[in-house]
Amino acid sequence: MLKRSIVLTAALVAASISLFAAPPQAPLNIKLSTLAPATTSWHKALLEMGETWTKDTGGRVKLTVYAGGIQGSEEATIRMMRPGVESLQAGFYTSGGLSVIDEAFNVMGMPFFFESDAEELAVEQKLAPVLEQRLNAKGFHLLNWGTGGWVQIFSKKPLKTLDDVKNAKLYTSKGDDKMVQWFTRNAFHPVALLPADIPAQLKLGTGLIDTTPYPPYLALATQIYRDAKYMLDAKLAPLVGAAIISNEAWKKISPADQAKMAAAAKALETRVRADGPKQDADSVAQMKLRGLEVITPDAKAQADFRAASAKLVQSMRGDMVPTDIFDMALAARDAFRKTKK
Amino acid sequence: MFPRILIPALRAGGLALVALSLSGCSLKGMAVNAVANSLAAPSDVMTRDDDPELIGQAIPFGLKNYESLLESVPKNQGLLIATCSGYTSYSYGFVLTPADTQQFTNPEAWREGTGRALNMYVRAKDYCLRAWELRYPGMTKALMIDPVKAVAKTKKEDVELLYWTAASWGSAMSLGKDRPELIADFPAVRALAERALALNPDWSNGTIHDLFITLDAQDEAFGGSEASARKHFDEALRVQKSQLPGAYVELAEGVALTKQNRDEYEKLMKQALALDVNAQPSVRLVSLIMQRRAKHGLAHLDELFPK
Repeated sequence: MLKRSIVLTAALVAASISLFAAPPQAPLNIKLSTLAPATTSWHKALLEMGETWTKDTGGRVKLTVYAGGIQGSEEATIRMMRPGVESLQAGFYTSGGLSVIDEAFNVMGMPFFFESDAEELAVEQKLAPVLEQRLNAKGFHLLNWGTGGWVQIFSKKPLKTLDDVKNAKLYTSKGDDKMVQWFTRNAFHPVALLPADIPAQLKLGTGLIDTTPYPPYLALATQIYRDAKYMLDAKLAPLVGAAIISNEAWKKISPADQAKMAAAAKALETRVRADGPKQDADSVAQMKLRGLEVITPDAKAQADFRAASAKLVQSMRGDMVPTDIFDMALAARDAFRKTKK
Repeated sequence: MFPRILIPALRAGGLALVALSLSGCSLKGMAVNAVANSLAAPSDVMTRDDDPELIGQAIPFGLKNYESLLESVPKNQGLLIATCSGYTSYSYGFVLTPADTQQFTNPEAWREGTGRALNMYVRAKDYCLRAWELRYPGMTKALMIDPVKAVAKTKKEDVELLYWTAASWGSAMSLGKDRPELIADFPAVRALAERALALNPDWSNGTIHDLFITLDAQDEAFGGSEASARKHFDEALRVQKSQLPGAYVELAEGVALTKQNRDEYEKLMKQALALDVNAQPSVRLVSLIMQRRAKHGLAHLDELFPK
């Protein structure tokens, strides 16, 4: 009898525990937006990162990627991550988009500031802790950096020198007034347009622009090289970006899972950094097969570009890039250059 | 991009085995060509079926037999086009669509499925280009350099090849934007499709209009135009008497989803689902597959439209 009542009590306790036990937690769904079109290398890398997140967190975190900018511009989607809105939790942005959150990110897109991937990486690593901190203060956590090759100069007429570039009708992003003013102050002839207008304007015989900075991959995808048949291999700037997540979403994840997610995000960073140069080279090779002419500046032109670049970027200090960030970047870059001499 | 499956795959299986067992070189060559021509002839034996699983399992056997036959008769244009159209259709209906329905539930399977679909589209495109080289030597290179000029010489009898080349190549590009060698020739896809439209706009039950709904739904920077996509949607409905779900699904996936217009997306998918798949029995299978896409879309509205 006693034994039966103990068994019964144990059963009741077990039942009551199961009645009050927390139900299995629904996975946290991170919705991430990016301008990178679907099925590009960046999109595929993000999908793989999401799969790793799900696997490594035992299904507690899920990632849905909205590619091709279908959720809107970078500025709009950053607003969608803000507290109270939160229809998105993450984004994979260019440095231009990130500068909407903090102008310090403009440092990674300064024209003619970097000369190589290694140089950009050295500066990125030096600045990362400070940039992450600034980002965090504004409500976002940096997951990983991302690169997409180099922005080159595509034109309808052959351009060989910096003066040629200055005399060209140069595309500049509409809405980025500071950049337009910066180009004007430095004797360029910028024309502010929406990115979507670039192909149509280049098609016209007397379009508003005859020259545009563009990454080779996009020049191939949008076919602008069929009208802008010349590419000045001047390496205007590396295309740098980063994946970020809102602090609200990040805080919902346990430290153990955060560490696993950070590792997968780092793997994405390594992958896209390795893919970038090949994608640039393959894109240029395909365009050359179809009529693109690549102009490599001669030694004198290269020296001119470098000499002018120092003055050009200096004018961004304190205006488009906070002075402390600018100085850090310059010091890191110059220190790296010294190691290469 | 999925108008009809032109593959009499089950018949292909049986006849191909007979052909391959024939002996005697010239006799074998003649017989294989005869069989190949017979296989390449259009038939609706597959497309009118009401069991997608059965057909999905049957088609690969037929496709592999096509490829075996092509080893013997590599210059049979009809068989090359049938193989191109077969791989394109199979990839869309039985590889990509099942993969797409797992987009939110099993992302790994989705990614692997889209990778397989891409490989099949590329294979299909290569068969079509082989057919072009036989019909117009030098066409592949010409399409790369000046596609509008290259297709200008084509005639009404080339519409089928124009269409399937555009469909297979365009589909490959849509899944392989990480491959510069693929995306380089997007103008060729447009030129092929535009030439087909100019030569025979209502060909194959308005299927060229279906293709243009997808092509014109691209971003403007990639040559797209929403207004043009909608115009082709109207044209497709006119030709198809508003009886086929394909155009509704294509406009929903191409335009409404891209513009994040949830109301329109939902309305179009519901219209696609409400259609009677027996209204045009010869393409019943295609309608069933398009309705699967519609069902999947309606089941995942919150994921597709997060706002």
